[in-house]
Amino acid sequence: MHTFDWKKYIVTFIFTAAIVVTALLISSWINSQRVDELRNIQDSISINLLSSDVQFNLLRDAACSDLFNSSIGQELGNLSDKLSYMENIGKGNDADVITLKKYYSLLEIRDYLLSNSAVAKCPSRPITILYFYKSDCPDCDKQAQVLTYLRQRHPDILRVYSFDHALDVSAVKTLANIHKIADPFPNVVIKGKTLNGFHSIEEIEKILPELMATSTASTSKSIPNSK
Amino acid sequence: MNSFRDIITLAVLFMSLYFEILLLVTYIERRKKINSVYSSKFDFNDDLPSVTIIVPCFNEEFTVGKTLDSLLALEYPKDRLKIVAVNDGSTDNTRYVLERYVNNSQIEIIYKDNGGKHTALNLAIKKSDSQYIGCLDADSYARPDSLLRIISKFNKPEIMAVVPSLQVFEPKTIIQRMQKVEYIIGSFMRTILAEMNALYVTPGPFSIFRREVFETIGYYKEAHNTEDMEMAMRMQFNGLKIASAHDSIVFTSSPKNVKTLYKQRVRWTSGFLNNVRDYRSMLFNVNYGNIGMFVLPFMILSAMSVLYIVSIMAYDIINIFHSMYVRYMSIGTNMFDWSWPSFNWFFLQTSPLVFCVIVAISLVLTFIIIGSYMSSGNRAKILEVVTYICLYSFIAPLWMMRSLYNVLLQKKLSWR
Repeated sequence: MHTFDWKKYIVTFIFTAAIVVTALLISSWINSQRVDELRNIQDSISINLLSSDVQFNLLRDAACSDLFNSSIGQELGNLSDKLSYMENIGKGNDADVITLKKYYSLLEIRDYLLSNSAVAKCPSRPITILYFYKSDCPDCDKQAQVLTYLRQRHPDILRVYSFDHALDVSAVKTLANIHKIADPFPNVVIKGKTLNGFHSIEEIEKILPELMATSTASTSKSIPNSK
Repeated sequence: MNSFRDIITLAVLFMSLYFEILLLVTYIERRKKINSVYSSKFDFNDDLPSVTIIVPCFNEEFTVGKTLDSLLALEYPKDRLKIVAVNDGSTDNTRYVLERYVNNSQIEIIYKDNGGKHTALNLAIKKSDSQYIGCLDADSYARPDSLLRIISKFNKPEIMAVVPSLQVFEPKTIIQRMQKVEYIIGSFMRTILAEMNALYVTPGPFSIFRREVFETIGYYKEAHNTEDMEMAMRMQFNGLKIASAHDSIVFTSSPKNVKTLYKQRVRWTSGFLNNVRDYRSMLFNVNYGNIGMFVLPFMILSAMSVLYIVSIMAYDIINIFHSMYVRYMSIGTNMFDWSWPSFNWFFLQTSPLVFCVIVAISLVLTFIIIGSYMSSGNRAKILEVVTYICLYSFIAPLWMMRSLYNVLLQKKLSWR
């Protein structure tokens, strides 16, 4: 009386498998598009940085507004958001993403050095914060929230450079050694001073009163960072 | 796919997709047969068999009158249709409502002490001498042409029972509108399962049996308060075929709120699981075809997978609250300085799981559309479909969890 149609079950299996495989392929294609997009952003930042660098070295009289045009800061922030998104969706250990993270760290250091070398010429250059984090560090999540908030609030006068302490890049390790980065994490470097552990918005604003002064104005209009 | 959790979730999704595609493949394969309904015109002549419809009542004073009226209005020769109302020891005014029909020659009223629905049905079945015997719950209403359509389905001698298409009677609350869509899907599913000879329930509202069914395999049993599932499983166990008449529309009252719905569904789901346990020899037994090899094992597996889905959903919700807490502890009330994020494809969720869920929901929508057109009854409105999709997956786990708990710990349930 009861019959069992194996053929139909096999056909159904083929259809289902085809759908799931298609889903896997589409997802992997979109992820490769994401990596391409990250590369494009990095290329653009790299060209901008190089351009500022060349201007600084050759022309000497380049305006501070060109040297510290806020688009580099915004693009670095944009790249940072996208890289952390890739980490959040579990792609943090993909070879492509790790390479991009290393490249991103180098771009950050380059931008940081450029900013430091213009101290004499551009006194009102952006404020820089170095942020060193580790995975499995609960306070690092909190610190990242604080720094992201401050960066979004003061896009024109604050640059936050974040570094994964575990990343195998010798330039990052050297920078960490210079600033004596050590446990407990997170470590935040402000005005050359290394602070260990979590620091709240209020504590950072106390160290950087410039932020307090501009906090209300920055919401209504952008602050020029040239002389 | 890089975590164990994603792989398990994909396996669960694969399983649901497999079931949905199997239903669709069967529908496509049998669509001509399914769509050619009610072709045989009945004259009100000698061809029509005698039918007894039993209406078991326990405290149904508000609905039983309408139920009996719907039976009296059936397009069926009056001398071939007998209606037996069994008052199963009601403690409300059901008795007085029934007394209004005492002079109707088509209706017989039986009074008995309360013993449960199965005892009321069995008492009336034993008294009946009709060729076909059916039941209509005292909160359900048959459309005038429903009986003719069901009887026309008994066109092959091997068909021993026929189930109708159930629809929600006058849905008003959100919960009822959600059930309206659920019943449309259920009706579609029963039609397909009948084609696969794998129906595991002959619903209380208006399933009709040849009398030989009871003579061959016996009467209704208590069966964990789900005698209609046990009867279907016993029929399948004994190789008796159950068909579906999806064009035969029967309306049934549905729970108005989550609390009553929860109670009803815990009874249904616990009853299903307990009955499957009683008939476990059918599981993975090739002699029981589709029902043994696939449908029952799949149903059990999907009840189990609800546990998994609920636990990962709970984990995700806890995570969201935790990150909100971390955000609050870090930047305080500044977290409420929020602006609409600008659209960026980069941040769209594009895991393979999302694509599988989209396909699964599209298939459910397809079933709702086919189901709506098949039964030519209630069409689902867009808002009702949205309510179903958004609400059902959140509240169904509640009764699934409770039922699994009941079955594992052998908890006894009351009928209401």
